Amino acid sequence: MTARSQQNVGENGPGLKPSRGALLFWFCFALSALVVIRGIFAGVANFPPQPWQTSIGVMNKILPGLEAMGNPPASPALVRIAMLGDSTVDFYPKNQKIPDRIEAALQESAPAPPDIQITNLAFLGLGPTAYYFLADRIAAQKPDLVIWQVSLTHASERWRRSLLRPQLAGWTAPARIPSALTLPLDAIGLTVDELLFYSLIVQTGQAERWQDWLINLSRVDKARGALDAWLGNSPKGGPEKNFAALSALIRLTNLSGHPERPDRYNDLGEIDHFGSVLEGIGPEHPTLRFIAAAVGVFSEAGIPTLVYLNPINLEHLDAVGVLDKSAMERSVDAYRSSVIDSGGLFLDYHDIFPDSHFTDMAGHFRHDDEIQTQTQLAKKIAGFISENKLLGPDRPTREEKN
Amino acid sequence: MLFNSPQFALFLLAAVCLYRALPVRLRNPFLLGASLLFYTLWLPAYLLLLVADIAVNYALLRGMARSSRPKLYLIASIVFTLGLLGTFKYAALLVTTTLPVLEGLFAFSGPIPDLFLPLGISFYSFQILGFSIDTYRGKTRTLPSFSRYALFISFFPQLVAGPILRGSQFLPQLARGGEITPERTRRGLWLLGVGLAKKVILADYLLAGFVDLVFDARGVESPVFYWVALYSFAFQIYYDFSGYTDMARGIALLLGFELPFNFLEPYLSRSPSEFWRRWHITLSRWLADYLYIPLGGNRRGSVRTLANLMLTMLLGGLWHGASWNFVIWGGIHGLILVLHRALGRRPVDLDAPLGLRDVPRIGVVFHVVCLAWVFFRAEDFDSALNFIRHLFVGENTFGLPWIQIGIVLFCALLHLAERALRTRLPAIRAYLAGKAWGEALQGAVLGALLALALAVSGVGGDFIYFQF
Repeated sequence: MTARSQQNVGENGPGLKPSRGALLFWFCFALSALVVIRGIFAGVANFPPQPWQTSIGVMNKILPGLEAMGNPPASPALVRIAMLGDSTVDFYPKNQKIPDRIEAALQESAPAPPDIQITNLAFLGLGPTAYYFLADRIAAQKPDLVIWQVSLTHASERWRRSLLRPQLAGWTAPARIPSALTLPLDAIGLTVDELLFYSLIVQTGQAERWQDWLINLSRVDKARGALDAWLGNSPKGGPEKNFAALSALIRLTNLSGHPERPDRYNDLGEIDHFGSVLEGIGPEHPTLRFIAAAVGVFSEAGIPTLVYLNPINLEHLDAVGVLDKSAMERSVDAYRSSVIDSGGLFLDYHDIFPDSHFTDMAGHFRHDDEIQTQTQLAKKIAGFISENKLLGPDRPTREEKN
Repeated sequence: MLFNSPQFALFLLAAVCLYRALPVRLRNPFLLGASLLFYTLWLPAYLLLLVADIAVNYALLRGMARSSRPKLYLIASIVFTLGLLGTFKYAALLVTTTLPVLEGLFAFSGPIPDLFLPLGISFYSFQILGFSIDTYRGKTRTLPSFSRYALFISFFPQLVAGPILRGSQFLPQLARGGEITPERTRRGLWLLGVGLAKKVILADYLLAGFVDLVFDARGVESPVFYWVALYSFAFQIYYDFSGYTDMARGIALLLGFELPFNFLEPYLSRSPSEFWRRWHITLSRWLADYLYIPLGGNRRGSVRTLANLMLTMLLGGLWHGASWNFVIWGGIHGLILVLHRALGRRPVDLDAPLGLRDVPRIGVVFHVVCLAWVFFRAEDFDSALNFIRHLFVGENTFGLPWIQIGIVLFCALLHLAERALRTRLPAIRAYLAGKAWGEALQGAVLGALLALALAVSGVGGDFIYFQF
């Protein structure tokens, strides 16, 4: 044996038998790591978990929804619709969400109302990339129709940056991964190793453990936030002033609020909120490529997909001076062609409501005795479905639809 | 794949275990495969770019070795490598800078290139160039095989952010194969743990938040906040980059290879030239050997020497990124190096012990370095000037950020401790060696450190130097 090969096996001694010192080292290493992690997690156990920060928290809603959809359906006559979208679909009281109102409107509009079940798969901040990763699982349930709300804000850099939840990539069907690699993953902050890693976690059934880990990490963050707040609110003098100052500083970094209307963005905020859509985007935009790919998955499975472009507050965009109508039309056209070219149906509702129909800067809808935006929107969607017989046995062919 | 990500932990575990289990003759090919896989897992398309860069340069090296006119091959290598670097890194800057002129003169208007910067291109380009120049200079006795050359360029622990290797440092190690010893393994684990803790706990958890708040805030009028953010950023970038380097060196040790130091407590420098012998050492040596000296170094009179210094630092600044702010940052360092030399510099002795009489000089150098960092961190030139103005103008309406001041002082003390520990490390190791309680203590401390880093990793971010 040469000197070098002796050196290379010297690590573990002859026959790869670890030395007593090495065993002691690794034992103490593992024990100490375990004690520290357990200790920290036990220390923050009482802080509220924040599962919505994790994709797995999202899946806690989506997976039961898919299961509830059932395949095959409970009765042959049952028409099953999957509703996809973000908080503008879901962020309302129970039974008053957009899917509930569409269901009610469909029951009213049809001469012979079909037996309808709309499964709400919409969730806070769930955009096109997320639904692309989930598309195969949704398609596997073979819904009779997919209604998908997309918004012009989904193409903004901010949306891609902050609301992506890249871990959802873990739920991509394994067979879909090669084609996923052809999409602009880098533009949504996802690397190939993350895609494979998250897939590995899901495929090996470790998603729940991973979620526990992430929830504990979010508790650590929460604990630090609570410590900051406690120091900031402490009635005694001392270091708390630091944190009061930090809170003030955090407020000062909020540059996007409208000076007169707290429920609206200023021009900077709107530019951030809508991003390049305000300058006009084309079908090559990463978000639109994900929309096209997801609609393509549904089309491949023979599922009609109705994509509607969410109403946005154009009046306010105009008021703060960031609306270039021709650029906006270019963006809308790009959305339209992305959907239609992939075999979907497209409804453009981006300009149907005035400023009074919106409650906040994120574009959620106002719904009260005076203005009932959700109902108006739901009726329009239901009307289109009925007029085009999307649920009946004589559904139009793909050529007729387009 | 970030070094502080769980997927990298899996990749590393698999790579190290398989590497060690393989027969020695298969280890280098395996390592090359693992390195290319590591790069592919980031963005597959750019693997082609890396491979093309390696293949073309290797062909040119072979031509250089056989030709009677090797200079032509060297020029081709430089043009090709810098051409790729320029296209992917500087095209947008070039177009945005020249477009207004072209529009004004010729009514010409064109699109601004929007290319995604290939990971680590600045680092591996310099490594490629360094080896080509060394070969031209006759410092490479025999050309390595293609696979060995490819591994030298793409070695995954240092591929994306250095340290920038020389052929003479690394190729002999590759020829011998990784030498795995218990001492290297133990040292590698320590570097890995300490590097991760530096990055995750210090840079990301304790420093980044305050820095981002102040650098991004507009309308804050409290100079003390700006000073604390200034110091915080100085330590953030140090712990971020040196943390990465420690991890890179640690991983290399686990594979049986030694990588060079990149940092030696830079904020304890007593002069600007000492700073550049302690900060990003492999880059400053590269710039000295392949740019400053070929420009004439200090051999062509004092004026030319100062001009060479300035030009080297300006280009060194530009190497960091396609932004005029980086050029200004390099220019500031160039200026203080020029002033230092013009005022009659003293020879640098890195090992000279520190004394109280060094404190004023260390303080001055540290503050100049900190002020230069503003241009490195700020979004643009105006933001940098605005930040500097706020250091001196305004009222402290918010009170004092005591906690962050405490964190900065803690980092400063840690920096001092690093120096004390580094010089005493061999003695400590020798003292602990062979003692059962020494093994237990090392295991327990390292385990606790890694666990702590993992538990706060939820707030982790990209390595600052990955963008270069």
